[in-house]
Amino acid sequence: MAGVYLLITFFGFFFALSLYQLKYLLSFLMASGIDVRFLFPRALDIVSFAPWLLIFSGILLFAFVLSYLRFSMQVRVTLPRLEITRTISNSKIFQGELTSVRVRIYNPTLFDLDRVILTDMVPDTFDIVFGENHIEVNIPAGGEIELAYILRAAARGVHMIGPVNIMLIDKSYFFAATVEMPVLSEIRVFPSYRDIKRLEMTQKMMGGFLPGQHTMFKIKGSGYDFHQLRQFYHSDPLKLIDWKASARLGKLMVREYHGERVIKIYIVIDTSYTMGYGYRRFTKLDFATRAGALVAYLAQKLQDFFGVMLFSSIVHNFVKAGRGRGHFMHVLSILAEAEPEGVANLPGAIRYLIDYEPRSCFLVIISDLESDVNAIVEGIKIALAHKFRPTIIVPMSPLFEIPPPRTSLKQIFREAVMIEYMRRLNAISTKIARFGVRVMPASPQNIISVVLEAYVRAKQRMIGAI
Amino acid sequence: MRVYLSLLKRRKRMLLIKYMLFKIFLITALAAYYLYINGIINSIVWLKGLAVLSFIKLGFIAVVFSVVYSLTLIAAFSSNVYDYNAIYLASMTIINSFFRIDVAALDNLLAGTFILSINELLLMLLGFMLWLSVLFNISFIAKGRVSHFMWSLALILLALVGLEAMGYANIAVSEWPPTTIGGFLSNSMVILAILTFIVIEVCGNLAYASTIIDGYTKKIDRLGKGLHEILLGKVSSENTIREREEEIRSASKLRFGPLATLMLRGYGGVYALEETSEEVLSKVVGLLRSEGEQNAEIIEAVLGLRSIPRFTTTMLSIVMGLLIKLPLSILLTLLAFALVGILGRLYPELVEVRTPAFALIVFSLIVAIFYILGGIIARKKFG
Repeated sequence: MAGVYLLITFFGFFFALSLYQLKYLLSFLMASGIDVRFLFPRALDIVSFAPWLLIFSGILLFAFVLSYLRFSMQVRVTLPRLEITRTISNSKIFQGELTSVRVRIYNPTLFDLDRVILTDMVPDTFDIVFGENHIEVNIPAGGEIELAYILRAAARGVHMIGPVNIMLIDKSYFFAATVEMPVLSEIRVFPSYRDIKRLEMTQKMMGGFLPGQHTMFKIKGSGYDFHQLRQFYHSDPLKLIDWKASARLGKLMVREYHGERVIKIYIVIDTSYTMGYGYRRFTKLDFATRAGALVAYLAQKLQDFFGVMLFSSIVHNFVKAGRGRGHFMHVLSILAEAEPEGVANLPGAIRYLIDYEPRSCFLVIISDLESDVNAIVEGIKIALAHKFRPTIIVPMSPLFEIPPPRTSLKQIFREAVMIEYMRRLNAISTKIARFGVRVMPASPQNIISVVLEAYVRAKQRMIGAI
Repeated sequence: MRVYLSLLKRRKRMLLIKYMLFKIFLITALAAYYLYINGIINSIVWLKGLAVLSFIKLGFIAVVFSVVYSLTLIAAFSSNVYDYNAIYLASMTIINSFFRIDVAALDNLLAGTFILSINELLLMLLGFMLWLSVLFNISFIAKGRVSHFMWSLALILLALVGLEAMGYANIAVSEWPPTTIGGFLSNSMVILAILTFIVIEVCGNLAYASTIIDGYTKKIDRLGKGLHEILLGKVSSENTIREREEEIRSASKLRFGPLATLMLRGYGGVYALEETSEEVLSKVVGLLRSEGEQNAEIIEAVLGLRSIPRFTTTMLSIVMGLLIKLPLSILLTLLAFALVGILGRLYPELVEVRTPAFALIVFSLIVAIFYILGGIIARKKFG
């Protein structure tokens, strides 16, 4: 735009110059016998315009320079002194939840900002559900403006809101300058709580803990809750005999109690780069963290010890098994940080775990098993050698990555990929099955229930019991 | 909650009144500008400019006529009529019934007896340029782009100088150098420059202000509708099951087959994979309510009511621009010319000092010095 302004000014200048040239051109034409005075009778008079045209252009030129000086002063002096504060109503939320963001901009200087376009940069991982993250406004000297919007966390992770992008434009669209103010705020988005909610709802509806086989949680043992009376066998310890019942029934009866034993479980999630494939916001890793969050929730409910480990080529995050609400939140926050990168190194991860966890425990390994097969087997061997009891949940990659086909050609392609994938998975499963370790393939639809099943099974059999 | 909606309506009405006022100011200022130009030039130029349009129209009709004539020719020949004169007249009647034109002019054009002098053609061209500048200015009023005014200004300048040379304008310029300030300011070109400056400053600002208002009213409309939906429920009827299914599918990036969707919905009994917009909106209501006392503040901030542009500052900056910038620009221009005059007197033997090119160099020099000085002062004073 400034170009257009200057264009007019220089147009005036060169017009003035050409008027002088015109005088010589006219005299030349007349000398050559061409008389243009029938067309332009006052052509020679307009030469006297030249200095006045220069005045015309001069006034515009100086006005332009003055505007530019004012603008550059605004950019140099006012913009860096703007005070920007961002308030986030809740900086730790679950995936799918809302939070409100308010940005306040205060101009403490003596100069007005004529035309400002403010944009609060929001990463793609959030949806703006109400309001707008940008505004076009003028900020007077000493004035304050405020914009607000409501965000919905669409993807798990640790996300930064900001920086604030300020574009200052001259009122006449002549000049523009863009500055990025490094005002950043962190929002930690935990994996979706919806699965947990679903579980709670199902539990309420079914009147038990979980539907079907998952209701059988209590087992016999030396707890305090009464289970049943049964006949005495010779192998039973004498202290278990209920003398009153024996006297009443005329035969020796034994009192049985529910077991009070808890298990120790580690959620081991592979965060190698292949786990990041799938649909945006619905990658294998996203599903894995959701499943992990659900297991953590269940373990917390049942007083089990639970820990988490995120690994790829190195161990990115590790939380030693513990229990309680605070620990659960800590685990969720770790799950939120999972980012797909590097190549899976299961043996390394297991060795790391051995250093911190000397006792037996149950491992739920969620991995797509797309790294070296021998390394996976090696990792399993090391785990078993140290009394870790792993179960591997494998998100089946084609189901996560290839959309349901609409044409028959794509259908064939998908089938072919699926067959090849299953062949490889079967080979790996067979290798691992030799060590008595279950490999459970999972699709996007059932990954949650598969993980749940693995956990319930471990709980029933007291795998990794303390 | 209805309070916010009525507040929004009130704000919007207030903004719209301002918008209309600004546009009226804009039109008035530009009309004054054209009034001055009209005073300089002979009013016949405007009509000649319009004649270009009718000339173009005539050319277009001539093309249509040739098509009609050929068709009539075919029709006449196929019905064994070979009278060319009758066919020509019939085609002319058809064309006349279509366009209601000056048949004689078309006839002249077709017969090649159309007389147009070069002088007239040139006048038409210059007049047309003036009309073109009007169109540019209308666009400037409507869209608020100062660049359109600039282009119109270039056309006006070119047309004015051309018209002056042809003797159809009467631009008052006194002999150079002027002896008094009054003599300097009374010249047409200086007045035109000042008017141009005022139009840029005033109309540019007003155009900016009206653009901002326009953006704001649109924002209020957009968000007001959202607020209405959130707080008072959807006005439109509930979505049908099919629409709802579609909404879930489109909201979810992962597309499931019908069985998978059913399974997912069945799981837990209530929840779908993705929330529908209604569910999200109900959550928004929940969030707004949970904000408690800040509720009013956040709604005002979201709707932009807490950042409505301050128009008093805009108007103030217009006045400041006129009071400071304009006299300063004129003074600096005079300074540049005085310097040119002094240098011309000091070195009379040099031919260059008497040419406008030299004035241009002095101008550039003063601009550069002024800019550097301004920068230094600003940095020292404000850091």
